Formats: sequence, C-alpha cells, structure tokens
Amino acid sequence: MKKLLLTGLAGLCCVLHSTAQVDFNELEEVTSTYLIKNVHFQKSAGDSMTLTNILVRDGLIHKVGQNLQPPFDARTINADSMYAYPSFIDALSHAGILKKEEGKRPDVKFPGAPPDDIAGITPQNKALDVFNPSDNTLKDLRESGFAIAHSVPRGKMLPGKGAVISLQGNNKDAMAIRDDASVYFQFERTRGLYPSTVIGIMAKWRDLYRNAEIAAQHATLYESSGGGVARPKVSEAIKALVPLTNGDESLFVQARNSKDVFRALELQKELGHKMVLANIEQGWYALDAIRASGAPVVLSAKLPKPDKEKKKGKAEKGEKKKSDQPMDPEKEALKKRKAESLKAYESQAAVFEKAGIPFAISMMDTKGKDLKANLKRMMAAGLSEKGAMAAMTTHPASLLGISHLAGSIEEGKLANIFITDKPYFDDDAHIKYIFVDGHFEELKIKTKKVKGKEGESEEPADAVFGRWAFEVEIPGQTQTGKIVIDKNDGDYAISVTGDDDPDDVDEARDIDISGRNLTFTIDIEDDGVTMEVDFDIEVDDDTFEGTVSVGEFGSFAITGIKYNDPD
Amino acid sequence: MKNILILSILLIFAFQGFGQQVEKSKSGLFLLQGGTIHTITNGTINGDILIKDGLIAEINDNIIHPEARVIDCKGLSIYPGLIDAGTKLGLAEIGAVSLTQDHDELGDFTPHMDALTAVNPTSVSIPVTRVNGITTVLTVPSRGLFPGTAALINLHGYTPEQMYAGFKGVVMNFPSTGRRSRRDRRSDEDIKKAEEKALKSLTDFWDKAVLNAEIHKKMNGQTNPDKKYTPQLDAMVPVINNEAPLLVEVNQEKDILKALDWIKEKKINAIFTGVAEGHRVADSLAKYNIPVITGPILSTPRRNSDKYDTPYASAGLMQKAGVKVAIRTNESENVRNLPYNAGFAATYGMGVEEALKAITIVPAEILGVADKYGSIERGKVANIFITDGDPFETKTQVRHLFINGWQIPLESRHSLLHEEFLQRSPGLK
Amino acid sequence: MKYISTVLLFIFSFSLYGQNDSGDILIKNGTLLTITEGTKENTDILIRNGVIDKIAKNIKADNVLTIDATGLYVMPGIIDAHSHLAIDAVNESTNPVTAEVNVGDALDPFDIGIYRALAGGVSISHAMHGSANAIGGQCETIKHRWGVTNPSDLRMDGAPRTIKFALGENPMRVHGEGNRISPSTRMGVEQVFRRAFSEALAYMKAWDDYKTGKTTIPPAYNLRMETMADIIKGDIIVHCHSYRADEILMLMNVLEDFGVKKLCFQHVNEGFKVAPELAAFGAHASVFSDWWAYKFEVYYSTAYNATILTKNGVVTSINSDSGELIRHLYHEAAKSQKYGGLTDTEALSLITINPAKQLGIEDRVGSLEKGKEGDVALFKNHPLSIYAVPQMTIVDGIIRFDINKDPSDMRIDVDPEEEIPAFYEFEGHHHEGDACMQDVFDYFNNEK
Repeated sequence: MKKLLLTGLAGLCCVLHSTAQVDFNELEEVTSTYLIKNVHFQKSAGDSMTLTNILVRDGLIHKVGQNLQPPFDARTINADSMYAYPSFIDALSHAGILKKEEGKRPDVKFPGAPPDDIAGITPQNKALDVFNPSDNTLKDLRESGFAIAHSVPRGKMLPGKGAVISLQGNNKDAMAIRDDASVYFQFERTRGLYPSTVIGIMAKWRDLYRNAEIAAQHATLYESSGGGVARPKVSEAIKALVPLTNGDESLFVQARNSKDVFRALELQKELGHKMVLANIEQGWYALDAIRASGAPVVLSAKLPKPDKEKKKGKAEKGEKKKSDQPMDPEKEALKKRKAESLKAYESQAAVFEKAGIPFAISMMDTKGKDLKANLKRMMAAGLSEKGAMAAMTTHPASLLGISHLAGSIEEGKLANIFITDKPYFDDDAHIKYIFVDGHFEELKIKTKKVKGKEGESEEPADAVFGRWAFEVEIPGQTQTGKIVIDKNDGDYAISVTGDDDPDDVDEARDIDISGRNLTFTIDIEDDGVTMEVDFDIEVDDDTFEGTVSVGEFGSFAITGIKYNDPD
Repeated sequence: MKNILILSILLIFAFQGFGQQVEKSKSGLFLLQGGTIHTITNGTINGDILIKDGLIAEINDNIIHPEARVIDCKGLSIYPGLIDAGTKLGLAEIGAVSLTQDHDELGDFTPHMDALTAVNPTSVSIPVTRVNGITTVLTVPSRGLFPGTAALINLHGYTPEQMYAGFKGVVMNFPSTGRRSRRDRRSDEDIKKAEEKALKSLTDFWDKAVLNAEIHKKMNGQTNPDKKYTPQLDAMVPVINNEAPLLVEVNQEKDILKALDWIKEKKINAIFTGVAEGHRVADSLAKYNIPVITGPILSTPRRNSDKYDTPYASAGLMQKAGVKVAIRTNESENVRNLPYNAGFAATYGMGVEEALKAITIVPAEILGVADKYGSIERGKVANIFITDGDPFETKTQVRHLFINGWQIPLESRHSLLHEEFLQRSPGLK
Repeated sequence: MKYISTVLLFIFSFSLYGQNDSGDILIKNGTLLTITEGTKENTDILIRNGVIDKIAKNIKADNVLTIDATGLYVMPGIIDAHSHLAIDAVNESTNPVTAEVNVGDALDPFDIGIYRALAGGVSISHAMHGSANAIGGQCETIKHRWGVTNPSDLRMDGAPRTIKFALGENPMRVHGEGNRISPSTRMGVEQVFRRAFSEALAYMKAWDDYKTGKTTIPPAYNLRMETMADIIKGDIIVHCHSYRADEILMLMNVLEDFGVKKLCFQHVNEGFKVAPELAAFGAHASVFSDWWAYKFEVYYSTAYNATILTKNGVVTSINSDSGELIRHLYHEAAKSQKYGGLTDTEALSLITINPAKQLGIEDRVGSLEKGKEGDVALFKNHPLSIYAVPQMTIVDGIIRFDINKDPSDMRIDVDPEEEIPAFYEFEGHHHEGDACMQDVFDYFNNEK
C-alpha cells in the first residue's frame, strides 16, 4: 500500500507536459478537458443505465451530472444515444512485455545447481524494467475497452514482480500506477536444469520461502546486534521474497488447470503466504478448496475453441458423403463428452459467481478482440451481465488495490471510460471513443462480420483480391513478404510467403473477408513448435494496413502495397 | 558410451554358454506313450505318438516299437509346438545395449535385409523361450518403411539354416498416423504431413519395384551382368509377382482402412500384423480375407477413451467376425509369455479352442507352413511339448519338449540359476 | 456391441458409485481368500464406514448395499509396491541427490491408468520417483479412489513416508554419461550416499546447536538435508532401485553405517544371489515376475527370483513398474507358481500382505481381517488362474470398479479441443519405455 503512487496521479499530465520535447511531427493535444454529453452511463458494474454528462479534466473524472455546462476549454463529445462504461482492468497478462528469444541453453556445469537467473528464479526482477510502451498489445487492449493492466514479467518459476500499468503513454515510469504489485509465480519448469519438473518447483519454493523467513530473522538480529553477528549472506532472490514472508506482498500464482490450483493451495496452506490464484481456466474442480482458502481468484478470459464446422466448400462434399452412413455410436459418445467438457469451461465463471466467489479476469492468453465473444459465451452459460462487468472492473480494481482510482465512473477517479454506439454486449456494438488516463481517442469502427452470422457479412470488395507486398514492423527488424489473395467459386485462398524464404508458402485458414476487412490465420512452424499468426487487415484500394499477432510474442503493425503480376 | 557398449558385448561373448544348456539335446526314435493328444486339427484323443526322423511317424493306440525311447505321458497333455508369428527373438539380446540389437537397419527401404542372416542360434533367450512350449517363431526386422525380410525359425539348431522353418516374408510398416507415445507432442498437422510424405515415398518405391519386376520377367530367370544391381527392389519381386505375401504392420483404425485400399489397389497378397484396432474394422478385414497376426494381447489400451479390456478382447472380436487371427507377443526376451497372451484372449471372448489355434495351426496356415507345423498329424514335423495341464494356465509345467524330433532338455539360464541359488552354498559366510 | 457407451451411462455409473459413498457394503457368499487366515468358503464380509466390520457366515445387515458374490473369489485389494501411476512428474533428473522432491506433489487424479489398475483388482499403488538419481525423490502411497478430482484425495493418509534410491546403470547413465559428473561408476554411486548422509549429520548438528542455544543465528534451511535427516531418524522407508548383487550388498553396508534400517530393494533382479544377506539385514524385495534382458545389468536374471527370495525368508512382493502389468498383477503373481511352485497363499501374498509390509501399511491393508480397511477385489475364477476376470474392486468400502457398470470411456477430464482421443503406438512394454526413466528423455533430447 505504501507503494501506491497516490498523490502523483493528478499531476501526472503536468509532469509529462513539462518534460516533453517539442516534436512538430506530432500534433499536440489542444486540451485535456472533455465534456461527454448526453451519454447513457453505467456508474459501476450492474448499475442501471442513466443519462448524464461526464466532465473529464486533467486525467480525472471531474464531475458527473445531468446539468453540466462545458468549461471554456472543454472539447465536447456528443454522445447522444451512446453508452459509457468504466474501462476494463486486465488482472494478469504480459501486456507490454515481449517474449525473449529463447537462446541456446547456457553451459552449466552442474545442472542440479544452476545460477538462480538461469534457473528462472528472479523474483527481484521488475516488470517495468522490461516494459515496452510501444508494444501493440497495449493498443489492442485499449481498443478493446481496457485502461489498466497488471503486467508481469515472462520467464520460468519466479520471473519477477508485476506492475499495475496505465495503458496510455510512452514513458513507462509515468505509466506505472503500482510497482511491486505482485510476486509472480508459475509452475514453469526449466528444461534440463533444476527445477526441471513440477516436483522440483514445489520443493524449491519451500526451500526459498523458508530461507526468506530465516533471512528476515537473521537480518533483524544483525541490525540490532551492533556487531558480533555474522553478516547475512543471502541471494538477491531470497532477499526479494522477504516482503512476501512479512505479508507485505502477495504471490500471484498462475494456475491454469485444476491440478495447478490444488498444488498452489497446498503450498499456501503449508507456508502461509498471501496468494492470488490467477489465470484459471479449469478451476471448477477446486471450487470448494478455493472457497475454503479464501484466496482471491483471477479467471482466464480464454476458452477452448468450439468445434469448428469443417471448412466450407470442398470439404463439405466429403462430409455429406459421410453423413449418409450412420454415425458410429462410440464416436458420437466421444463427441458428446467433448461438448460437455467445453460447456464446463464456458460455465466456470457462472459456477464461481453462483458460489459467491468474486473473481477478476486475466487477458494473459486472450486477445482483446476475442474478449467480448468469450464473455458472451460465459454469459450464455449462466454468468450474469453484472458479474461479467464486475470481473472486468470493480473486482480487479480491489484485487490490485486500486479501487479508489479505477473500476467505476465516479468523481475523482481516473478518467478511464469507453463509449459504445450500442450497449456493450450487443453483437453489433462498437467502441467509438475511449478515455485512458484522461487521454481521448476516437476509434475507427471496423464493419467486420461477426463470426457465425452470415447475414451481417458484407460482400468482399474487389480491391481485396490480388497480389500484395507487405512489411511487418518487428522491433529491431522489418520483415517483408508477399500475400496472394484469390477467389474461386466463392471460396477464398490466401497464401503468405516471406521474402527470406520464398519457397516456404503458408496457406491461410479461417479466412474471413467482409467488405475491405479481412482476417486470416497461418500456422508457422519453428523447431517443432507451431505458432498461430493472426492477420487483421483493412484494404484501401492499393494499400492496406493492419496488425499481425504472433502467439505470445505480441502484435505488430503490418502495411502492404498492391503490385502487378510479374506476367 | 560406445566403450561401455563394446565392453558389454565382450562380456556377453565371454559368458556365452554360462547359464545356457548343460545337458545335450537327443535325437532318434521316441515313443510318447499314453498321453492326451490335443491334435488341434482332429480333436483330442488318447493314444501314442511315434517320433522318427524328426517327424511324427505315427499316431495310434498302443504303438509298439522296441527301439524307441519311451516317454511316459500318462496323465499328461500333448500339444503341437506353439508358434509366435511376431517376435525379435534371435535378433535382440540386451534391450538397452544397441550393438546387441540386429533388427533395425538404417534407411527406409531395406527389404533385402534378411533376418535369418542375423539370427543368433545361441541367444540366451532361445532356451528361455522354448522351455515354455514355444517351438517356432517368426523373427521380424522393424525399422523403416520396409525394414527387411522376416524369417520363420525353429528354436533349436546351431546354425540359422538348421533353424529355418520354411517361410520368409518382406515386412512393410504402413505409414502411421498414431502418436509414438504420450511424449509425442507433434501437432495433428505435422503427423499428417509425415504420413503424406511416407505414403508418397512408399508409392515411388513401389512403382520402381514393379518396373524392376517386369525387367526380371523379361530376364526369364537368367542373370545378366548388364542388369543394374538393385537388391532392395529384387527383394520385392516375389511380393509383386504375388508369389509371397507382404507382412503389413498397421494398427490404427484409419490406417488399417487406408492400408486395405492400398493393397487392393496394388493387388497384393498381404498379411496384416499388429492390427491393434482391428476390432473396429473387423468386417472389412473379413470381407477382403486379410489374415491377421495380432498382439501383444497383454498391452495397454491405445486410446485413453478405450475400454480397459480392449487389447484383451480385440483378437476375439476379429475372429468372431470371420477374420483369420493369429496371436503374437511382439517380444524378444519374453516370447515365453505367448501362451498367456493367448490365455487372456481366450478369457476375454475368444474361447480356449480358438485361442489355442491362434498360436498353432492358424499362424502355420497364414505363413503357408501348415503342411509341416501347427498341429499333431502324421507326417508333420515333430514339434511337440508335453505338459501336466492346460498350457494357458500359468502354473502348468512343461514336462517334455521336442523340436524337429530332437528331445530338448528343459534347461535355460533361468532354471539353471534357480538350481544354483535356491539354496546357495556357501550361504551366509 | 461393446461400444454403446453414452455420456448418460457414464454419468449414471458415477452416481452409482455414490450409492455407497459412506463406505458401507455387504459382500455375501463369496470364497474369501483372506491371505492371513486361510480360505473361507461361503462367507460374508461386512464393511462399515470403509472398515471391515465383520467376516462370518450369514451376516444380516439392514440398509446396506449388498453384493452377491456367490461363485466368486473375494480377496484383499491388490497392492503394487512400485508404480508411476497418477503422477505428472517422475524424475527430477538434474542432480544425483534430490531427496527434497516428492512425487506426492504431482498427483494426477485424472490418469486413466488408475481406472485400468482398478479393473485389475489393484486398490493401492506406490507412486514412485524414478531412478535417474542415486537419491531420488519421495514417493506417495495412493489409494485408487477413481472419481475424485482433488489430487490429495488419492493419498493414503497416515501411510509412512518413503523415498526412492537407485543404483547402477540409471544414475551412471544420467549423471556420468549424460552430464559428465559423478557418479559414472558403482563406486561413485556409493560415495553419493556416503556424502549425502554425512552432510545430513552435519546439518542436523547445526540445527541442534541452534535449537539448544549454542548458536544464535538460524542455519540456512535445506529441504534436501531435512529429508536425509528424516531417513536417518527412521521416519522414511528407503525403496532402492537395484539390480546387481554387488550393489545390493553395498547399499546395505552404507545404511548400516548410518543406522538406517528400513529398506526395501526394488527390481533387485540379482537378489536371488544374495538372498541370505537380504534376509539377515531384514531388507525386503519387490521384484518383477519375469522381466529381464532389457539392459545389461538384468542379463543374469531368473524368473525364479521371487521364489528363491521367498524360500530364503525375504519378504517379497511382485510389482508392475508399468501401466500395463499393473492391470494383471494377479497373473504376474501366478508366475511364481510356474517358476518355483509357490503355494496359492504364498503367491497371493506377493501382491497383498507383503507389499503392504514393504510400505509399512500391513496393519491397515493387505489381508481380509476385521478392523482392516475395506479394500476388496472380487474375481470370477481363482485370481491365480489365467481365466480369472476381476469383477469389482472396492476401496474403503466404496465400489470403484464394477465390470457390469463399465462404459467404454472412463475418462474424467476430457480435452475439449482434441479431435478424437489420440491413438498411441506404444504397447506398454518395458524395453520400449522404461517408466523408471520417465522425464529423463526430454532432458537428453535437450542436450543436443
């Protein structure tokens, strides 16, 4: 709590202004005062919508009320028949932290006793130290309604401490709302080095924790002795865990499946540290144990993919042939069990809600653009709208100790607001305006087809088809290549090649073209690992722009130019 | 690593003979008197058997032959030697010592690797196996698309030729879409790609083999020095001319169906081996008359969703659907468990009679040696074992053993170590 | 067809287990193979609250689930003293000494192998750390309570702690050959033990000094040394992977020097050669029925091992070390009748009371006696016959396997994304995948 930057927030903008150099390539903001007029607003999760005006000033929600007059310096946002919501808070992710290339395994003489940093035991590291404000993930989150994320470093067992970060800005220190917000722990083994298994990790944690307790004891003795007591000689890692043993910090354990949840609970029971169970995908088996422990909960926004109907077109004919035969009862039973299992994942949030266990939601394994669809699947499985909204706003706010700053639209809180053209959960609702930390932005509304609803899809524009040369901006390098987009009898084919290896052609799947927008996915393979690469592109006659998301590596900007057929 | 291996090999040779067989095998005239004869092909009868010149010379009541050595079989049961139609016996000595393993040649296309060449007649596993009543095994090379040519051997003899039992067959591993083990984390896509690649190279090889067989036909059995040396392709000639069956190892349902299509298209005379999911496609196997050598029966269910007894029950389900089914162990040092594999199949649906056939006459028929092996009939090779009870029952003891008419001492490393150490002398101190 | 299973059936079968989830059950008119008190024909056995309440003829009990076992054999649930079932990690193979790790931390209640073992009459198994390290991790004695989802519910609470040691080729291969660190010989393996125990004595002294006020600063905590100290104190039973006679003798000498008495050798293929020494030490032996020749150190083996050990007075069990063999341990035990002619009771003891002794749970399980836990297996045909078919397996008085309610798909946790359950080429044979060396392969692959 001490570490909260309580006072600086109001002055944050001033600080930024005073240090900013003049850059005449950038247009300066004219004002930091906005009046959102005549908006339906939800003060806090579950509240009913009421019509109001919201005055934003210097990054804060200055006033909320029906009869507000715009101050002289205010820009007025006319939000008639629009809807304002408190921005979302991502309770756990690697937002802004790019994946490190995993280099060759360092030479370690004794694999049973590697140096802490090589073994992935670096609780002294800080998310902020590796935070990159220009990571496209931040933009993706912002445009999906988020204003704040709890970002933790990547790594193995103990990657470091997490920070609560505002998703707006280009100065990472200024973006930080809380440093040292968590000690991040995962059951992630270090291949070939201790701890190389989950049992090694559990044993190592007991050892580290007990030694941190002893280190605290020793340090007290040493400081109060005035000599005569041996100087404590402990590792940085153990030193960094001392606040945890004092109850000043809490351990965020990434526990995707129920076994990890149970294991985390067992360790906590044994050692007694404060703990948050985070990024849970499969927690329902452990519901009773979680409730009994009282540990705060963060559920994953990720859901398993539903069974796709096989690709249309060619495949369909094959399918038909098969459907003439009676379905094998065993296979039918297997399919049914799979569907049930899927349902269990979708119902998790509802099950927790019914059990009265409050939870936040983490975006660690989910892209911003998939959030709403997944929330809706959870709601279809019984989660209330209020519960969904609370999991995105008030619950993470209180979990992260920032309830007084964020989570609702109230006077004095950060101006974290997103405004939609229809109620958020409507299928065709779009986010039109966002305020993140008082910074205003108007989003271009993409008229994209909502998956599975043929009727709303636009005919593909002709401009989409043809040959394109593209460039992807990856920090430190620019990748170039070609994309060929073809149409055959209403069936689309897209192939992607990189200029570094023109023989390696990747055929795209999940192609979706609507008007000038297209999305598709290719699978690229590297050292036996297959990665999904998602393209999201908007075409403008002879050029396109958009983003490419590569698994956990983050997302990057892509641009393209149409070129003529060589023949 | 290499040094340790080589050292181990040296040790093996140094100790060869230790714990093997002390007593010598005997040949000559034998009269098996008064046992219950399980002929397999002609029911169960009480009577005598005369063994002469390595063959079953006579089966009758009260045979009298003054020169014959009489073996009293009263109260005992007489069976034809058991046949395991899928093993690595003689090709493998010590599992983890790779230089004692002779079943995996390098390369995808090695049908000319002849298992019989590498059979070690003094492998310690051979006596260990035969004293449990297994007299004949198919020993099979295993790696690559065409790992080599399997050979049927009797488990007695000092040279591979003495052991050879009259069948050789080219082996093919049909491209698999299964996962090698739980540690196999390839994506479905990768598995599919690997399979497609294998299928393509299989077809390429096949086309070449067909062309080569045509050239052979034109050569009319003459040798011609101008003919290019193509031993891999030459080994395929009998298969392509339908003079010998192809042993096709295939296990997963959809792979079996694909293999069926493939052999139909190529018009090949095939025997399917492994066939773990044969019960799922039993009707197709029966329809196309594909003989099957399945096993091990004592193996884990191949899918997590499978019923726990699927491997026990599969052979019986295929047999009941009309498939000709032999049972194998796919073992090397523990081929001795063949009767127990059949016993589990018997218990889980196949029935005792059919399961016994599946390790005697059926494999003999499938491998085209039923005129010599697989039952107790006059004129057949005297491969016989005599027990104090049901050969499937675990506690049953083998009392006498004949291979090729030789009486084989019931000794192996295991029994000799037992004798030496049951009451060790000196004991403590 | 056998494959008519439906989800409904599956759910039904689980709810059926719930019928007697208090652990009350009456099994009537069976032939009881009690192990310790002979065979009892036409006898009933009443289990209340998971404990055997009464064994007698014509027991009358109201409101209890009653099973008619007429014509069936009723024996104590089979116990496997060596398996790697139901654990997500087997080998922390990075160090020759990893006493601090515990496979009980990695229990997996969703492992379908548990159900398959139950379908072979096995109610308890000893989930062991692997054999990559001279001193491997601690093991967990589990009860096969298929259907639970909390890993801890598999534990047999109160069972003594056990730890895995390993001699010979495996630790030599992993550390000596693999990492080029000692041990790479059997001499080196001995010294690993001597060092670990000696360091533990020093560690114990440092803490004693602190606790008795001789020193003021707490020593650094070391979970590995804590565990070694517990072995020295006699709180943990040592289960040692071993093959050759010389290394077996070596470990007995080392343990004698450090006053460690609770010892069970695992595999111990050459145990028959030193059976008198094993008996004199009081060491137990848990062996394979007939596995041999899968590596050089088991080349001079004999399937008569269990018999020779038993007849020399060594408490002997037959184990599986395999998800395949564990499904028919009753058959593996019967091999001791083929190879050496053990009596029915001797043979069945190899998979019941003897492994119970080796795990220190013989006062709770391993025989049918009043007061013992209600772990029972029902067989059609005598369990030592090849025609034996397990019918029902009861753990703590609760039916966990019933052949008449056995839909094909018994998985609890289903991957919602897997197209259809994968097909594995692996048949479950030892030489294809030494379970004791699980997790080590990844490690070696990574070497390259």
